[in-house]
Amino acid sequence: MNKRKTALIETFISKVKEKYPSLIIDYEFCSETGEYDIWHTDSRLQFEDHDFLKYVGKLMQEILFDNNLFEFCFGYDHLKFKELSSSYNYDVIVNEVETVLINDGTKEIEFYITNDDSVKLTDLKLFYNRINKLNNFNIPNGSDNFLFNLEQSNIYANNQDERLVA
Amino acid sequence: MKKNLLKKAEKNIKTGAWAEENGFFDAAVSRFYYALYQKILYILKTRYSFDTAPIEDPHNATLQTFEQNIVKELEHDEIVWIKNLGKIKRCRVYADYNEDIISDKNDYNLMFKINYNNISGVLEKFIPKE
Repeated sequence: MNKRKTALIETFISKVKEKYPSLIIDYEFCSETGEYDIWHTDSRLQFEDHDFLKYVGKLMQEILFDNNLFEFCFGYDHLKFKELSSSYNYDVIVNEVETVLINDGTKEIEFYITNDDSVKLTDLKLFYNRINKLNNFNIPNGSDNFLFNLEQSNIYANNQDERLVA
Repeated sequence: MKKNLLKKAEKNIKTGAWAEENGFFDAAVSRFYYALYQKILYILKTRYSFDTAPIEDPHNATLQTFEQNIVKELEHDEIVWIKNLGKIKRCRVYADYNEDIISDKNDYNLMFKINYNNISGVLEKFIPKE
Protein backbone atom coordinates (compact mmCIF):
# COMPACT_ATOMS: atom_id res chain seq x y z
CA MET A 1 0.00 0.00 0.00
CA ASN A 2 1.08 3.52 -0.75
CA LYS A 3 0.96 5.96 2.19
CA ARG A 4 -0.08 8.93 0.06
CA LYS A 5 -2.89 6.96 -1.53
CA THR A 6 -4.16 5.48 1.71
CA ALA A 7 -4.16 8.97 3.25
CA LEU A 8 -6.32 10.19 0.35
CA ILE A 9 -8.68 7.22 0.66
CA GLU A 10 -9.00 7.84 4.40
CA THR A 11 -9.69 11.53 3.82
CA PHE A 12 -12.39 10.56 1.33
CA ILE A 13 -13.98 8.15 3.82
CA SER A 14 -13.89 10.69 6.64
CA LYS A 15 -15.62 13.26 4.41
CA VAL A 16 -18.34 10.75 3.55
CA LYS A 17 -18.81 10.04 7.25
CA GLU A 18 -19.08 13.75 8.03
CA LYS A 19 -22.38 13.79 6.17
CA TYR A 20 -23.41 10.18 6.84
CA PRO A 21 -22.02 9.50 10.35
CA SER A 22 -23.76 6.18 10.89
CA LEU A 23 -22.62 4.72 7.59
CA ILE A 24 -20.33 1.73 7.92
CA ILE A 25 -17.65 2.36 5.33
CA ASP A 26 -14.11 1.05 5.08
CA TYR A 27 -11.53 -0.02 2.52
CA GLU A 28 -9.21 -2.90 1.69
CA PHE A 29 -6.23 -3.01 -0.62
CA CYS A 30 -6.14 -5.81 -3.16
CA SER A 31 -2.50 -6.62 -3.90
CA GLU A 32 -3.56 -8.78 -6.84
CA THR A 33 -5.21 -5.92 -8.74
CA GLY A 34 -3.45 -3.00 -7.06
CA GLU A 35 -6.87 -1.50 -6.40
CA TYR A 36 -8.41 -0.09 -3.23
CA ASP A 37 -11.85 -1.56 -2.58
CA ILE A 38 -13.92 1.05 -0.74
CA TRP A 39 -17.06 -0.61 0.57
CA HIS A 40 -20.09 0.31 2.62
CA THR A 41 -23.11 -1.61 3.84
CA ASP A 42 -26.10 0.65 3.17
CA SER A 43 -28.00 -0.55 0.11
CA ARG A 44 -30.66 2.13 0.55
CA LEU A 45 -28.12 4.94 0.18
CA GLN A 46 -26.47 3.27 -2.81
CA PHE A 47 -29.61 2.34 -4.70
CA GLU A 48 -32.25 4.87 -3.61
CA ASP A 49 -30.56 8.09 -2.51
CA HIS A 50 -29.55 10.24 -5.45
CA ASP A 51 -28.13 12.95 -3.17
CA PHE A 52 -25.74 10.37 -1.71
CA LEU A 53 -24.47 9.46 -5.16
CA LYS A 54 -23.96 13.11 -6.13
CA TYR A 55 -22.17 13.87 -2.86
CA VAL A 56 -19.87 10.84 -3.09
CA GLY A 57 -19.13 11.47 -6.78
CA LYS A 58 -18.14 15.05 -6.02
CA LEU A 59 -15.81 13.88 -3.24
CA MET A 60 -14.25 11.33 -5.58
CA GLN A 61 -13.53 14.10 -8.04
CA GLU A 62 -12.10 16.57 -5.52
CA ILE A 63 -10.15 14.22 -3.26
CA LEU A 64 -9.17 11.26 -5.44
CA PHE A 65 -9.20 12.07 -9.18
CA ASP A 66 -7.79 15.57 -8.73
CA ASN A 67 -4.90 13.93 -6.86
CA ASN A 68 -4.42 11.42 -9.66
CA LEU A 69 -5.79 8.48 -7.72
CA PHE A 70 -7.93 6.26 -9.94
CA GLU A 71 -7.06 2.78 -8.65
CA PHE A 72 -10.11 2.21 -6.50
CA CYS A 73 -13.66 0.96 -6.67
CA PHE A 74 -16.58 2.03 -4.54
CA GLY A 75 -19.99 0.71 -3.65
CA TYR A 76 -22.43 -1.22 -1.50
CA ASP A 77 -21.01 -4.62 -0.59
CA HIS A 78 -23.75 -7.18 -0.01
CA LEU A 79 -21.35 -9.90 1.15
CA LYS A 80 -19.89 -7.54 3.77
CA PHE A 81 -23.41 -6.65 4.85
CA LYS A 82 -24.26 -10.32 5.31
CA GLU A 83 -20.96 -10.99 7.08
CA LEU A 84 -21.54 -8.14 9.56
CA SER A 85 -25.15 -9.13 10.10
CA SER A 86 -24.45 -12.83 10.48
CA SER A 87 -24.14 -12.85 14.27
CA TYR A 88 -27.66 -11.50 14.62
CA ASN A 89 -29.86 -14.56 14.50
CA TYR A 90 -33.48 -13.53 14.41
CA ASP A 91 -36.60 -15.55 14.80
CA VAL A 92 -40.33 -14.99 15.05
CA ILE A 93 -42.36 -16.42 17.90
CA VAL A 94 -46.10 -16.29 17.33
CA ASN A 95 -47.79 -15.57 20.63
CA GLU A 96 -50.24 -12.84 21.53
CA VAL A 97 -47.90 -10.54 19.78
CA GLU A 98 -45.10 -11.53 17.48
CA THR A 99 -41.65 -11.23 18.88
CA VAL A 100 -38.35 -10.83 17.20
CA LEU A 101 -35.29 -11.99 19.02
CA ILE A 102 -31.87 -10.79 18.05
CA ASN A 103 -29.18 -13.00 19.43
CA ASP A 104 -25.44 -12.51 19.39
CA GLY A 105 -24.84 -15.98 20.82
CA THR A 106 -24.80 -14.87 24.45
CA LYS A 107 -27.77 -12.58 25.00
CA GLU A 108 -31.11 -11.96 23.37
CA ILE A 109 -32.81 -8.70 22.58
CA GLU A 110 -36.56 -8.82 22.16
CA PHE A 111 -38.69 -6.66 19.89
CA TYR A 112 -42.44 -6.70 19.49
CA ILE A 113 -44.15 -6.23 16.17
CA THR A 114 -47.73 -6.16 14.97
CA ASN A 115 -47.02 -7.37 11.48
CA ASP A 116 -48.36 -10.83 10.56
CA ASP A 117 -45.78 -11.29 7.88
CA SER A 118 -42.45 -12.90 8.57
CA VAL A 119 -39.94 -10.46 9.91
CA LYS A 120 -37.03 -9.51 7.78
CA LEU A 121 -33.81 -7.82 8.73
CA THR A 122 -34.93 -4.83 6.71
CA ASP A 123 -37.92 -4.42 9.05
CA LEU A 124 -35.53 -4.12 11.95
CA LYS A 125 -33.46 -1.67 9.98
CA LEU A 126 -36.50 0.54 9.52
CA PHE A 127 -37.18 0.29 13.23
CA TYR A 128 -33.68 1.37 14.14
CA ASN A 129 -33.84 4.18 11.65
CA ARG A 130 -37.06 5.50 13.07
CA ILE A 131 -36.12 5.24 16.73
CA ASN A 132 -32.51 6.31 16.50
CA LYS A 133 -32.72 8.58 13.48
CA LEU A 134 -29.97 6.49 11.96
CA ASN A 135 -29.30 5.92 8.32
CA ASN A 136 -28.02 2.45 8.87
CA PHE A 137 -28.86 -0.61 10.90
CA ASN A 138 -25.71 -2.48 10.03
CA ILE A 139 -23.83 -2.33 13.29
CA PRO A 140 -20.60 -4.33 13.31
CA ASN A 141 -19.92 -6.89 15.97
CA GLY A 142 -18.32 -5.61 19.11
CA SER A 143 -19.10 -5.14 22.76
CA ASP A 144 -19.72 -1.41 22.44
CA ASN A 145 -22.20 -1.87 19.66
CA PHE A 146 -23.94 -4.63 21.52
CA LEU A 147 -24.36 -2.35 24.52
CA PHE A 148 -25.94 0.17 22.20
CA ASN A 149 -28.46 -2.48 21.17
CA LEU A 150 -29.15 -3.48 24.76
CA GLU A 151 -29.77 0.10 25.71
CA GLN A 152 -32.43 0.39 23.03
CA SER A 153 -33.92 -2.90 24.13
CA ASN A 154 -34.23 -1.77 27.73
CA ILE A 155 -35.99 1.42 26.76
CA TYR A 156 -38.71 -0.37 24.85
CA ALA A 157 -38.98 -3.52 26.95
CA ASN A 158 -40.28 -1.39 29.82
CA ASN A 159 -42.80 0.55 27.83
CA GLN A 160 -45.31 -1.52 25.91
CA ASP A 161 -46.87 1.50 24.22
CA GLU A 162 -43.60 2.49 22.66
CA ARG A 163 -42.69 -0.94 21.40
CA LEU A 164 -42.03 -1.49 17.78
CA VAL A 165 -44.81 -1.16 15.28
CA ALA A 166 -43.17 -2.52 12.17
CA MET B 1 -15.82 -4.59 -37.19
CA LYS B 2 -15.94 -2.69 -33.93
CA LYS B 3 -19.73 -3.08 -34.00
CA ASN B 4 -19.23 -6.83 -33.69
CA LEU B 5 -18.38 -6.14 -30.06
CA LEU B 6 -21.87 -4.73 -29.61
CA LYS B 7 -23.36 -7.79 -31.33
CA LYS B 8 -21.43 -10.03 -28.95
CA ALA B 9 -22.64 -7.91 -26.04
CA GLU B 10 -26.25 -8.33 -27.18
CA LYS B 11 -25.84 -12.09 -27.37
CA ASN B 12 -24.39 -12.14 -23.86
CA ILE B 13 -27.29 -10.00 -22.61
CA LYS B 14 -29.80 -12.46 -24.10
CA THR B 15 -27.93 -15.40 -22.58
CA GLY B 16 -27.72 -13.60 -19.23
CA ALA B 17 -31.45 -12.86 -19.26
CA TRP B 18 -32.20 -16.50 -20.01
CA ALA B 19 -29.92 -17.65 -17.19
CA GLU B 20 -31.53 -15.18 -14.81
CA GLU B 21 -35.07 -16.30 -15.72
CA ASN B 22 -34.07 -19.89 -15.02
CA GLY B 23 -32.40 -19.09 -11.69
CA PHE B 24 -28.86 -19.68 -12.91
CA PHE B 25 -27.64 -16.52 -11.24
CA ASP B 26 -23.90 -17.30 -11.32
CA ALA B 27 -24.09 -17.79 -15.08
CA ALA B 28 -26.18 -14.63 -15.44
CA VAL B 29 -23.55 -12.59 -13.57
CA SER B 30 -20.83 -13.89 -15.85
CA ARG B 31 -22.73 -13.24 -19.10
CA PHE B 32 -23.94 -9.76 -18.08
CA TYR B 33 -20.41 -8.82 -16.96
CA TYR B 34 -18.95 -9.78 -20.32
CA ALA B 35 -21.65 -7.78 -22.08
CA LEU B 36 -20.52 -4.73 -20.11
CA TYR B 37 -16.88 -5.47 -20.82
CA GLN B 38 -17.53 -5.73 -24.57
CA LYS B 39 -19.42 -2.43 -24.56
CA ILE B 40 -16.50 -0.83 -22.70
CA LEU B 41 -14.06 -2.15 -25.32
CA TYR B 42 -16.29 -0.71 -28.04
CA ILE B 43 -16.41 2.71 -26.38
CA LEU B 44 -12.65 2.71 -25.80
CA LYS B 45 -11.93 1.82 -29.43
CA THR B 46 -14.40 4.26 -30.98
CA ARG B 47 -13.96 7.17 -28.61
CA TYR B 48 -10.44 6.98 -27.23
CA SER B 49 -8.48 5.18 -29.98
CA PHE B 50 -7.81 2.25 -27.66
CA ASP B 51 -6.01 -0.56 -29.47
CA THR B 52 -5.89 -3.82 -27.55
CA ALA B 53 -5.71 -4.71 -23.90
CA PRO B 54 -2.36 -5.96 -22.59
CA ILE B 55 -1.95 -9.74 -22.41
CA GLU B 56 -1.19 -9.57 -18.72
CA ASP B 57 -4.16 -8.65 -16.57
CA PRO B 58 -6.27 -7.36 -19.50
CA HIS B 59 -9.51 -6.77 -17.62
CA ASN B 60 -8.04 -4.60 -14.88
CA ALA B 61 -5.96 -2.65 -17.38
CA THR B 62 -8.95 -2.09 -19.67
CA LEU B 63 -11.28 -1.05 -16.89
CA GLN B 64 -8.75 1.38 -15.42
CA THR B 65 -8.05 2.95 -18.81
CA PHE B 66 -11.76 3.28 -19.43
CA GLU B 67 -12.49 4.80 -16.03
CA GLN B 68 -9.68 7.35 -16.29
CA ASN B 69 -10.98 8.57 -19.62
CA ILE B 70 -14.72 8.43 -19.12
CA VAL B 71 -14.98 10.11 -15.70
CA LYS B 72 -14.07 13.44 -17.30
CA GLU B 73 -17.33 13.27 -19.23
CA LEU B 74 -19.66 12.22 -16.44
CA GLU B 75 -21.91 13.81 -13.84
CA HIS B 76 -21.01 13.16 -10.21
CA ASP B 77 -23.70 10.50 -9.70
CA GLU B 78 -22.64 8.70 -12.88
CA ILE B 79 -19.03 8.64 -11.68
CA VAL B 80 -20.11 6.58 -8.66
CA TRP B 81 -21.60 3.89 -10.91
CA ILE B 82 -18.55 3.73 -13.14
CA LYS B 83 -16.36 3.37 -10.06
CA ASN B 84 -18.48 0.33 -9.24
CA LEU B 85 -17.01 -1.58 -12.18
CA GLY B 86 -14.28 -3.10 -10.01
CA LYS B 87 -16.96 -4.52 -7.74
CA ILE B 88 -18.87 -5.92 -10.71
CA LYS B 89 -15.68 -7.64 -11.82
CA ARG B 90 -15.09 -9.08 -8.34
CA CYS B 91 -18.66 -10.35 -8.36
CA ARG B 92 -18.02 -12.08 -11.70
CA VAL B 93 -14.90 -13.75 -10.27
CA TYR B 94 -16.97 -14.82 -7.25
CA ALA B 95 -19.74 -16.19 -9.49
CA ASP B 96 -17.29 -18.08 -11.69
CA TYR B 97 -14.82 -19.48 -9.16
CA ASN B 98 -16.14 -19.31 -5.60
CA GLU B 99 -17.48 -22.51 -4.05
CA ASP B 100 -20.65 -20.71 -2.95
CA ILE B 101 -23.53 -20.53 -5.39
CA ILE B 102 -25.67 -17.42 -5.80
CA SER B 103 -29.03 -19.11 -5.39
CA ASP B 104 -31.14 -16.32 -3.93
CA LYS B 105 -32.56 -13.72 -6.28
CA ASN B 106 -32.41 -11.00 -3.64
CA ASP B 107 -28.70 -11.68 -3.13
CA TYR B 108 -28.21 -11.67 -6.89
CA ASN B 109 -29.93 -8.31 -7.23
CA LEU B 110 -28.04 -6.70 -4.35
CA MET B 111 -24.66 -8.17 -5.27
CA PHE B 112 -24.86 -7.59 -8.97
CA LYS B 113 -27.97 -6.80 -10.99
CA ILE B 114 -28.84 -3.35 -9.61
CA ASN B 115 -25.24 -2.24 -10.08
CA TYR B 116 -25.19 -3.75 -13.56
CA ASN B 117 -28.37 -1.92 -14.59
CA ASN B 118 -27.02 1.42 -13.40
CA ILE B 119 -23.61 0.98 -15.02
CA SER B 120 -25.25 -0.17 -18.22
CA GLY B 121 -27.40 2.97 -18.20
CA VAL B 122 -24.29 5.17 -18.05
CA LEU B 123 -22.57 3.25 -20.87
CA GLU B 124 -25.57 3.60 -23.17
CA LYS B 125 -24.90 7.34 -23.35
CA PHE B 126 -21.73 6.56 -25.28
CA ILE B 127 -23.11 3.99 -27.68
CA PRO B 128 -24.77 5.32 -30.83
CA LYS B 129 -28.36 4.25 -31.36
CA GLU B 130 -29.11 2.21 -34.47
